[in-house]
Amino acid sequence: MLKRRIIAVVLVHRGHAVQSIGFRRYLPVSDPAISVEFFNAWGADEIVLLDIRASREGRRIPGELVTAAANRCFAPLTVGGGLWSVEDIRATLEAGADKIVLNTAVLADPALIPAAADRFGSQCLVASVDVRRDGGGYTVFADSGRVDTGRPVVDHARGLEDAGVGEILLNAIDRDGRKDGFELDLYRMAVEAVSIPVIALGGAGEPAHFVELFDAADVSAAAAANFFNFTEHSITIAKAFLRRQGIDVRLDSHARYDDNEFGAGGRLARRTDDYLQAQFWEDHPPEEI
Amino acid sequence: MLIRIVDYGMGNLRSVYNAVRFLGYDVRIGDDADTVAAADVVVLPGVGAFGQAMENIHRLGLYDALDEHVRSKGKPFFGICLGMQLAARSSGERGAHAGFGWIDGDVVSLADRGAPLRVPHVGWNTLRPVTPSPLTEDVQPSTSFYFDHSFELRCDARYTAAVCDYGGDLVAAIRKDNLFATQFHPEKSQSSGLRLLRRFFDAVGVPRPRPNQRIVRC
Repeated sequence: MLKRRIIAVVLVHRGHAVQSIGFRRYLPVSDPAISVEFFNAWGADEIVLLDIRASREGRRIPGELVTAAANRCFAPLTVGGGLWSVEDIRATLEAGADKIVLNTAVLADPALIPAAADRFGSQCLVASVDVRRDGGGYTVFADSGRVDTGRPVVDHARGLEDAGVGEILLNAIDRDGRKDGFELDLYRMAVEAVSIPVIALGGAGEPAHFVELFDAADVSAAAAANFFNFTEHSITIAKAFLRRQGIDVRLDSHARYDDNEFGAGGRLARRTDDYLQAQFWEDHPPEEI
Repeated sequence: MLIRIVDYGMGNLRSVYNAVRFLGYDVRIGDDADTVAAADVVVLPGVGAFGQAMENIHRLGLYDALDEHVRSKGKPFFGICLGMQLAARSSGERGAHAGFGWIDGDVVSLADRGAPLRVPHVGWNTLRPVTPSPLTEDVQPSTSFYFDHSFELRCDARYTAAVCDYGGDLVAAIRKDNLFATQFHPEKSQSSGLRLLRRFFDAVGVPRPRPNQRIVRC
């Protein structure tokens, strides 16, 4: 069976991995390649690397950055930021990306997707769409959430599918950095509208939010950036909790947490002193391949 | 033994190169017929459209060298994703295209399955081994691999090494003599994928270059 994916997002701002709040404020977290290396070791099903300033600064995500990340990543690496042409996409794939994220360019140049799909295939193209709630529906925003296109998300998503993208990464701007859960109505609406996989992003603050999302809507994947950055083994722990709640995710990293107890919201419960004491001299030899 | 990854302008070779290097093998990437002709083991990755791939292979003059390597010399070959599909007789991806025809099978759209499936088939799926193959020897029911494709190979059951479930059985790995191929991406399937690549190189007799690669568990 196909597993639900848990995706870690690394946002790059002026060469640093950052935490983003409401698309406006940014806090530095780490070196992007190091973030990628950790997410890989913690069992992320996919890693998305986005240069959030690239389009606005009229450049594309630096190839060296992609290569440094790809060298430490044995999970799929999806890369975006300032990719405006088939040539930009080719160069980014050659630098080490497995899939490509398109956002600003798609709104400006509708011909890009068919051209890129012909060359690289739909399965290589992820359209990232930034939306805000607007009355009962949702509207697409351009240019890092600054410009209201007035286009309803359902129309836009269907247009993207027809043009040939393989997946849609749907980002709820209002939820960005708030850690109070995913925008469930948005994803319910989106998965009905298209038959390509939909990835939810924005609002994850605890493992229970992922359960809520997968129970509410048939999304193929849930993504988070901020939430995964600040806790060691964050991805592994979230997956262990999801499995406990009956959601089929991959869990084959070394640390598994599948015999752990969980507290409110899916936080790890504290182990007993006896258990921790017994672990003290346990040997964990490296795995040989 | 010389391991060569074939560069025919289709997608991400670096991840395959990284994975093979990680296992310690001396490997190079080449885009000409001489490289393929000299190789003992050929790895054919590939992301993208079938028609464009065959066009590139012809344009770069790689067709005969690859065909000889697999068909007449019977040397070890590993195809990944599109690299597996190219072994088929034909593909219906955006038109009708002829493949190498190493396997009695054809490539068709996943949308033809009729079931209400999301296409492309993206993500981690588990395998069910069908015929014994060194590749899937220690694959557990929970072992997952990363898939990302909109088209599938339908082939003679003799060659099907493993299937996965996506609206019914879907060919995930094939084997015919020295030809091995997977629809999924072992180079992007973390330690499960690296182990599978190791089993391939062991199975075709590539000596392990140095003590086993150790993954520090964290």
